[in-house]
This record gives sequence, C-alpha cells and structure tokens, in this order.
Amino acid sequence: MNFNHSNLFINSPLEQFEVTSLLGFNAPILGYMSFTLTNLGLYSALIFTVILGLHYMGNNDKKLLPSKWSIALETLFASINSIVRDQIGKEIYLPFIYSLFFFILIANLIGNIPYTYTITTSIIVSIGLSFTILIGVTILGLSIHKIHFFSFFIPSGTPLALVPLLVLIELISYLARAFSLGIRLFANVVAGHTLLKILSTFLYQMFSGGLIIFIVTLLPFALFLAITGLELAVSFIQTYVFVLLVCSYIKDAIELH
Amino acid sequence: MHVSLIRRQLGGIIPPKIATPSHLTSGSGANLTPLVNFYSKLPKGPAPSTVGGIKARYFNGKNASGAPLVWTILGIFGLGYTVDYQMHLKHHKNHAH
Repeated sequence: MNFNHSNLFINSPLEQFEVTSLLGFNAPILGYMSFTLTNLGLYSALIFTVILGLHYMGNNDKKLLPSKWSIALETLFASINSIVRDQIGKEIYLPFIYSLFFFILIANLIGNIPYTYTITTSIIVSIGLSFTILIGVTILGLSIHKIHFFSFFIPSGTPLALVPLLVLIELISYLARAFSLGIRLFANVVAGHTLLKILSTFLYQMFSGGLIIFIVTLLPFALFLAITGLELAVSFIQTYVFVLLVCSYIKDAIELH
Repeated sequence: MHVSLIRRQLGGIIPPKIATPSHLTSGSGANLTPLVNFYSKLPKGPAPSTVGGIKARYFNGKNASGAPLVWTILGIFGLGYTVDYQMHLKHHKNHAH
C-alpha cells in the first residue's frame, strides 16, 4: 500500500519526535566521517545559549537592589538550594542539581513553542541522562563506602536464607531506577506533545470548515489552550520530579539507607 | 631594571603616597596639600554604568521587562517554522499529501 497516497492527509503525530538531519557533509577525516547537524543538535545548542544568556543577562552586576530578572533567578536558586539541603544535606551537589534543573526546564519550555523540537522527547537524551546519572551515583557510592556499598542491596534485619533473593530484587530495583527516571520524563513530555499535535490537527480541520463551524470550534479551542497551559505545568513538574529523584538517589549513595 | 622604572610600571598596583604620619602630625599647619590634590582629582558623581546594550535596556534595575522573553519565544518560533517549512511543509503547500 502506498502511504503517500493523496487521500491520506493526516501526518503521524509522532513525526515531530524524529531526529532529522538539517545539514551535513561527509569528509575523508579519520576514515570517512559524516558531520551532521540534526534538529537535536540545533536545539541542544539553542538551549545552551538560552541558559547562558539568561544567567548573563539576569545577573545583578553586584548591585544591592536586584532587578526583577535577578529576583526570578535568585528565587529559583533558593528553591533548588532548599531541595538539595533538605534531600542531600550537602551543598557540594548544588551546582550539578542546579545545572540539571535548568537544562531540563529550558529544554521542556523551548519544546512548548510551536514548530520546535523538544530534546527531552528523545530517548537518547532522557534515558542517556538518567543512565549517566545512575552510573555516576554508583561510582560516588563505591568511592565513599568502598566494598560496604554493596550492603545497600541487603535491607537490615534480613534472615540469611532470604539474602540471595533480596539481593537480586534490590539489584533489579536499583537498576530499574536508571530506566524509570528517564522514561518518566520522556513519557510525560511525549504524551503531552502527541496530544497537542492530534488536537491541533483536528482544530485546524475544524477551523477551516466554514464560518459557523469556526465559531463553534472556539469552545474546543479554549480547552486546547487550557491543555497547553497544562503542558507548561508538566514541563515544570517533570523537571522538579527529575531533580528531586536525582537528589534522593545521591542521598542513598551517600548514606546507604 | 631601574627601581623607579619598576615603580612606574607598578603604579597601578601600588597606592599613591597621599598621606604619611609625619605629614599629618607635624603641628597645626600640617601639610595636607597631597591629600587635597589626590581627592580633588577623583571623578565625581555616580559611577558610570559598566554595561550597555540589551542588558542595560531590558534587564537592569527598573528597566527589567518581559520583552526579551517574548522576543526569544518569537525568535525560536521563527526558527522552528523555518526549519519545518524547509524540511517538510513546502512539499505540501499546494496539496495536503
């Protein structure tokens, strides 16, 4: 069956998540390499620029009275600082958590602009991030507790007979964190964006169906705007949840519950 | 190298000798002219703003506004639309698939 048939007019709502090559070239360097700028790369660079720009522009130039921009930044800083202090208790992890928070937040927010690409809807970004963090956290725990780190997998007061089973279960639950952390972010953002794409395709068809239908469509359009607001909230909430969980994983590695 | 030459080169770091204990405590007619000289040459008025441009116009102090946010969103929308148009939309301009 030919899918490019002229009657098929609805795009796949998942098409927006494809990583496509925007421009690239092949060069005979180190064998034969292909250098490509994908939409993923473009938006990563954009997010980097926006975060740097925000912090450069929003800083206060050592003045006593803050501007509204630096109040906003300082408020975010204070919230993240309190998350880190409540969860981990050591502020040495603040720079990492702060960068992580801004990266995910700005990535999600930029993705809410129409026609853009959201890099957190890419499995390689969200799962890659959570895998990297889990590997780092494991190394952290091993370096702090050396061999005692493995007591993490045996809950205190376990009968000896149950130890092999419990170690297996705990190990699986520990490794599952690497997936669950990334998939939580990925799935929430993908679900929201897919929903918005489907709804906006419907709305486009309805808006272009005549004057009366246009006026009737304004009601579902208001609902659509509300869902867009919900997506903005999801951007913040998922960032917060991700950062909070990373904090609790770091705490687990430091204190071995 | 000559001592005074080094001194001149380091002039920005070594503070000027504007008052010494002997100057200030030598009776009622204390020699305050170096002190007066030094302070009379200092720039007056509020310190000039060290940053200009967009930051001074839209971000600092009372000028802080949401305009840069709107422009950033519009800019990213424009970029996204351009990419989408070049990659996809222009092939469907006259016929929907």
